Amino acid sequence: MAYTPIDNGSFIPGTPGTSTAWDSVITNDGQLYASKPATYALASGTFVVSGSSETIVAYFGLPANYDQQTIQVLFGYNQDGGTATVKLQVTDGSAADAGTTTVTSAFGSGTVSVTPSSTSGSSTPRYGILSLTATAGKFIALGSFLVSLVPTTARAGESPSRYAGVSSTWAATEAPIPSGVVERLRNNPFYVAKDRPSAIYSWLDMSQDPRGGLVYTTETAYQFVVRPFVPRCPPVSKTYRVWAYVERYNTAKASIQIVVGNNLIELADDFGIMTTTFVSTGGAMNASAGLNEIRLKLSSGSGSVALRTLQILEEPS
Amino acid sequence: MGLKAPGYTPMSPTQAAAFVDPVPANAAHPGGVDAIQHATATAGHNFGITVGMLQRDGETMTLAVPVPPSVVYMRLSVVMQGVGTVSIDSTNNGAAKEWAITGPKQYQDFPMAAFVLGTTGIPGDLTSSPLKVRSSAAWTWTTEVVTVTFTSAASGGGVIHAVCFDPIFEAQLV
Repeated sequence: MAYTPIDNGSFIPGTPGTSTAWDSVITNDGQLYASKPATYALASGTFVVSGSSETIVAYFGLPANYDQQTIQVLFGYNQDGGTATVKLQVTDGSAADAGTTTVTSAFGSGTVSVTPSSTSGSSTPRYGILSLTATAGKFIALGSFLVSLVPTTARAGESPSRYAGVSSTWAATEAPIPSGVVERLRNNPFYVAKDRPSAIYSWLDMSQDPRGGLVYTTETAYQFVVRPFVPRCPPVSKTYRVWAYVERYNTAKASIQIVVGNNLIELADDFGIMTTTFVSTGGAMNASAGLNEIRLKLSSGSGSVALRTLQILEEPS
Repeated sequence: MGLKAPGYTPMSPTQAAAFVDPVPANAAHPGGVDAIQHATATAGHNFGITVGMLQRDGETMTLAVPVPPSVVYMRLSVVMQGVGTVSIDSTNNGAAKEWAITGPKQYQDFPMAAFVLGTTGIPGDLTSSPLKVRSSAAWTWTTEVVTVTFTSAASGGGVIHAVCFDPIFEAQLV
């Protein structure tokens, strides 16, 4: 089963509660819950590990998901050893859930999944940690990966996201349709969307020595490092979240400026996870795309700072 | 059975619907639910995604791009600096989308000089058309394998900063 659009003109005065059109609406409600994914990050680059020690290669933010749906990483890889392991951890900073996948081909694609149970959704995004382990003396490299939510059927009763399924057998033939049912059906899609915010921009680089990589600096003045771009955003005023991960060498701390359309967002003087929210309309997000910027500087301390992850995500609201 | 247009009702921020009994029977109620559901499956909450990168001369990247229901084509925007040839193709595409940028490298090969290239938003099979990501319309979520190739052997300069995939929602058969 999947979401099946209903033909225009199916609902006319006199449509009884037991008609197939009503059943279709109720079926679609459940199918939307069970099939609508969310995309948290799309990474392009090379994430490579040599040797048999488990090594972290990427961090990424995982917002919402109060309903504890499965998080999946779809990756492409190649290796010169016989066996390698890809591990995904989902954590809130203290508790964690983890899953692993072993790959045995020289190249191909694979998935690794985690269904959270030790951690729960909150207004502070959880985050994912991707690790690789190769055969001793050999390497494994991921060429790109897609982090997404893979939904399953809703539980009975009301979910933490406030979604609740509707039975299609609430009434006998020609009986009135309870307004509570209509209200549920109207609200459920909003709850599903709210619990499954997606990224509109993601930039990931391999976790490594902060004195190297694609984007790192020792400069104390802002350095233009990459020009971001965002897809067409809805015209309404919405809240978005910037989620960044910064690695540092020695005592250095970083500040990051992000210019997206008419918005200037700053993450100031920190390292590790740096995050904030901002409110914008689609028009403001998509204005002057050719002038978008991400800037990075060493804001305090000494050493080097390296930007490893920057996501712009819808904020549940 | 006819065509059904995408739904643009924004699904975020949340707009809770409060009903107060008694509610008069009205065919607009199930019709309204259907409109919200259709927006959730189509243009109301399936925005595009941009993959940020710093892809250099001679590199090829293979990406798995999410494709929402009813979408067959995705508009591409490419942010690049310098000179070189960008080629983007999918497993369902006819003509690869290609941009060949030439000129004096010394004036262009700086991050702040990065510029935006793009396809049109008009479905078709021209080089300038959006990328075809599905063989034909379907009402399911899927992923499409997209290959991004960057070559600038003659001049050796240039970096791709981002590739944006914007779904083009069209009316499709129900």
